[in-house]
Amino acid sequence: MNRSDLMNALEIKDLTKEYKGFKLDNLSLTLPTGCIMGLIGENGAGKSTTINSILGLKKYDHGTIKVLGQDMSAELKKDIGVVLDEVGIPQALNIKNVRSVMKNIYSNWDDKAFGYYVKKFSLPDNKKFSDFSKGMKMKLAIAIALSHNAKLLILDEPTSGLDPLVRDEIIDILNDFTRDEGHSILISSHIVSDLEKLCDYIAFLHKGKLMLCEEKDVLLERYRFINATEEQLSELDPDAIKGKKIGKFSTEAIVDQELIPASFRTAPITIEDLFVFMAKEEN
Amino acid sequence: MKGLLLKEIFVMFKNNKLSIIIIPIFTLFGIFNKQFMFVMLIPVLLSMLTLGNMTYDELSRWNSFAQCMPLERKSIVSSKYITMVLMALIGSVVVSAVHFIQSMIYNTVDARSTLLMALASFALALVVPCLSIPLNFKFGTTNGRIFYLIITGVICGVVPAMVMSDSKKFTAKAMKLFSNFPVFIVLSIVVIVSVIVISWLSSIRIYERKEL
Repeated sequence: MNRSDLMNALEIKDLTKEYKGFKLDNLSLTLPTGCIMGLIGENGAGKSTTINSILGLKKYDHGTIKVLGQDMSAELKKDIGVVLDEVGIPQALNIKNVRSVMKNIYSNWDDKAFGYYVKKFSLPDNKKFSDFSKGMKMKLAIAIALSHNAKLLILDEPTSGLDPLVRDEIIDILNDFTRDEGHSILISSHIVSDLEKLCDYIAFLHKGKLMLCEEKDVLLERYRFINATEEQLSELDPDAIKGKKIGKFSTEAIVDQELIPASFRTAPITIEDLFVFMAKEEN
Repeated sequence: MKGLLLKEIFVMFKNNKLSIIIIPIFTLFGIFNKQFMFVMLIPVLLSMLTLGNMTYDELSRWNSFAQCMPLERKSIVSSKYITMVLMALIGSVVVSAVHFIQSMIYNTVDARSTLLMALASFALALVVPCLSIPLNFKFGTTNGRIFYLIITGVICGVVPAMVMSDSKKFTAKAMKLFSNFPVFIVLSIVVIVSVIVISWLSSIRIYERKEL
């Protein structure tokens, strides 16, 4: 293992996977250790395909994936906590059963930590998993992911379908997890506002292509809203315009601040604005 | 493996309480009734619970979740086969016990026939799961059941026709083999173990190539 491998929690190079009617096209991204990366994209953009390829649930056609500097293996999965959009715990099991099963699957299982999270999330001990609410199911999945000293969390839509209160609670827990510098998170969601609160890096996926992958703060600083006429926009460098919405009286556009004249009055954007404008422009 | 087996047992017993209640009822029927049919159903019923577990796994998306844990795919497959064999063994022990108690009641104790019953019930219990498990891994439990029925239909249509075409010769050979009891027992065990191993290896091969 060389030094650069140690510095990245995840390295994906030229990942390609083709299905009927969909292609994940040469995806390359790097998640530095200690950081949180959000994978943003509309439904069907390729977020789950990317995560499933990383975890070995799907075989990919081309490319390389290194997780914590290694190729994926069963042994390596001890160091990875995973939450899938559909949690996957057998419906008839209660927390006691889940605890016994996990204790015997993970050699690095931390039973105290699991007990702590079960208490913190107020999860019922004797209720069947099928009787859990969606929020409780997700919290149990997160409790499992956090109870075996994982270095990397891979979360596929962990906040979808949850109420804002539970989503906020989950975001706080994930923020706590990355207080340790050796901990990293890859999280996918189409709820962009959640990722905006949480992530250091943002990767935009649209129709199987990576549109950009950048530090969140850089994106928010670099891209800005402008209001201009169509004529004014046509005079700008085409590369500067990331997306536009044509209104009755003027056109609202998101532009790369570095590529437009300083005379333009600009306003800040959110990551959601950038994603929506870019995706629409691409369409 | 211990974790996987625990999961299999939890899922099995929590989802199949009725099937498990039926077992002592069938056992009592078997002891006090000369009709042995009820008892022979016990190992079949028990080993078939493994197939039920596969359906529950599919419904809860356990297979994808298990793949995110430090588990080899062959361990996941093996846990199904270990559970299946355990269930068939339990059923077979129940059959032997009932047969023995019954023979004591009717004063017809015969160790050979009890052993034969145990072996026959064990083999009977494994027929459906050994064919179904690889098909379920390959096609999913719903389509797997359809393929199972097609294959069973073809076998049931072809094999009896082949046997009946030369039934006298076949019966003579079977009787000769059966009359040599030790050879028959050893041969039966070899066939049963071979069927389990072929089914198990096929399932591993299928599951290791499968996209979840």
